[in-house]
Amino acid sequence: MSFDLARFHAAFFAESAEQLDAMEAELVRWNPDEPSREAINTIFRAAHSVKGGSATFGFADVAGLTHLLETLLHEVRSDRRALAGTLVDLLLQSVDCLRDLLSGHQQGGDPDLARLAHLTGELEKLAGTGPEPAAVAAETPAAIRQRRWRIAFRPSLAMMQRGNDPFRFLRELCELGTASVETHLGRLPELADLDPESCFLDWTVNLATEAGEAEIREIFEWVEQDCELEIEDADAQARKPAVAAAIEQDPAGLATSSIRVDVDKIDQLINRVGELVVTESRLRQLLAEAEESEFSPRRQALEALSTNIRDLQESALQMRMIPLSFAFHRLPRLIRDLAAELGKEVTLEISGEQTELDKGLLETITDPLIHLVRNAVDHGIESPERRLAAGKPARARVSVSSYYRGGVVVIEVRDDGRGLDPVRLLERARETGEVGPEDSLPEADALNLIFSPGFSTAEAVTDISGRGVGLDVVRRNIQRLGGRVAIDSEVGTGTCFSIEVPMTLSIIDGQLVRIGDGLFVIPVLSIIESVQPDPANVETVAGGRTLYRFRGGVVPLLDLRETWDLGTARELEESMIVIVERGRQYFGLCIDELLDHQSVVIKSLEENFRRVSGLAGATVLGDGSVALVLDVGSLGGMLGDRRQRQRQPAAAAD
Amino acid sequence: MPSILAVDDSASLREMVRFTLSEAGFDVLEAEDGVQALEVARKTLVDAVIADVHMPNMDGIELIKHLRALSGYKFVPILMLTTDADSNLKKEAAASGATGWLVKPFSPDRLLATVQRVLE
Repeated sequence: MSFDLARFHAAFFAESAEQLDAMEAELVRWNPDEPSREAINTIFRAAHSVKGGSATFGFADVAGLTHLLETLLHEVRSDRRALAGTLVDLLLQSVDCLRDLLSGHQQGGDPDLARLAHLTGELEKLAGTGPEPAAVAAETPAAIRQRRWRIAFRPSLAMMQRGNDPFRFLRELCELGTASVETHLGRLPELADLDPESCFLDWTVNLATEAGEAEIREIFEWVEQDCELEIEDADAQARKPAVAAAIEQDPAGLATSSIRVDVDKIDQLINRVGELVVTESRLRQLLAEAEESEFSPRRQALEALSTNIRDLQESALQMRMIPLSFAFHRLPRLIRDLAAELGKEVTLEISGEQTELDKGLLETITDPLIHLVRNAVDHGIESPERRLAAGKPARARVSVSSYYRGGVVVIEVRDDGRGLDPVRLLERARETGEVGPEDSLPEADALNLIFSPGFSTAEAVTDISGRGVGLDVVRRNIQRLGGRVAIDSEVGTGTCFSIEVPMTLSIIDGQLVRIGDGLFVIPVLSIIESVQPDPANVETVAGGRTLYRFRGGVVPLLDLRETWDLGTARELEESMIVIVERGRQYFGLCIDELLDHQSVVIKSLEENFRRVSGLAGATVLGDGSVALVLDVGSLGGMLGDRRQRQRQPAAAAD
Repeated sequence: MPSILAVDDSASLREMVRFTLSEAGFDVLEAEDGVQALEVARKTLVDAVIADVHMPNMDGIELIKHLRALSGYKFVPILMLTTDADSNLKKEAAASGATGWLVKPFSPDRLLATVQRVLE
């Protein structure tokens, strides 16, 4: 289970926006001559809920302001203050200010802090003229229900050597209520025998609190065996039974424009729709077998059904899509902190934050993205002095952008820093043995060395990115999603990493093919062209590799019949070649037959069997048979491996 | 920023711990088992350790004993990840030098609160 705190933030921002809208609407409608209790409650609840959330998620500025609002509104609600004139104006201004602060947290940008300070001042002035809040608190029934406890706490001598600080327990006790603490020095030895690593003190705490014995005991849970603990009820006299606090009944909740749904439920829906797609293919096939005419009523009904199923499928998938702004909103803060820490000047530009991506993908992509941004600031960008010396502006630019391309989402992290020097990368790779001493690599391949495990060209390992988790992990995580990451760089000008991930993982547009005696699906997105091979275009080169001349270049061919032993190998002339794209490289897959083109629902092999390199999953076809879905990315890797081995036969030991 | 060493053989749990804590501003180092954790601890003095009990190669209890013997780790808070059923393990962990524990499953909030508690 992977966990993403940002998703709570997302929910919190959505909630807060709704609450603030509701608050604003009531305030605008508000007529002091006809006060409505309902409206006051709505306004109060909005402030209260935004305060609660913001305090939980650590947005102190929002929490501070809403706390003031809540105090004032509490007075309004208990008829001790009129909601009129200045207060209404200030509340409306507060709504604006809160929106500003929240969007600052959500998307970056600079909230108007002067306005916040001014508003806080005004509200405090107003609150100061009202009744003392502490006096109100003293009247609450809670004060009556307090009990007094006497707690004797004697830690073992060795307690601190297990990382437990006795003072922490005392502090936590004090936080439960009002406490007085007596320290006992009885165990203190002579100075000469005083071991600074042992705890010789013990304490008695007199505590007045609403908490019960279980809550007090819970504080000491970790050190139960590591201390002596006595908890006594100090005023044992029978007390009158506590008055049950009146539970405030919230009137019907606000009508909201969004509801939160468990992701599992959405996934269930998507799965069901997937099954529906399979059934539809089955129907289609049956009608075809029955040689039903194109215009028969059954055929027409099926077409209508298909259209609806497609729409349903799209809507269901859409539910899992969330905008990339949820990943991007952390970047401004990150950049600010990093730049300050490193003494660099950096401007962050973000675009395309509305591009939507499957939720699971977005969560998994966030960390690699942050890693790339950190890298850009840490390694990519030079110090202001160096930049000036190189004739660049002192302030560097990092831009993060995203957009759709075909069925994939592209996210680019671009900096205008020093760039990567392929020559240095190659030297470094020779030092580490990644590349043989005599081998040379084309520039693009040399740049890709940066993704090798344990590879770093940073002169000094800084504590920003030099943490042993390198770009190899970034690449692996992205590839695991069926995506890829590419690098482009020019010395002195900058570096651009581009991440490509599919928009969704569960359904793809597939081309069904037969390879040997197996059925396979090739994702249509990666197909460039299918060709009937012309023998004149086939070339066999050293090492037994076969190349095919295509669009003025040559592409390597992969014959899975051979690699996976799928029945008898056939002559190339009797096969077809599907040219597929992997990154910027093409390669050809030799197949026996092109079959249908259909949407397929991918079922995980990993969950039902195990992970197989070269396969993205399996799918059930209309007639109930199973086809395996090819993973073009890792198939291309199989070609890459082979090339690697040919280049450096000595290193094949691994 | 304080650094935390998260030790667990489950990558997803490490991921959750790392995500939660790094979101809160901690610097999180990771190890897959006790052996790796000791390697990290020998090189870097972290501010707190969070370790699973059941791990291959070297389990959490063994790790605590080794850590406590390491110079600099005498007073460092070490939290164990256990399940509720492991009440004997809790005792064993405490006896081996664990500062406290966190019962699985736990929410990010609880994890954060516990870590902040020992680092206060």
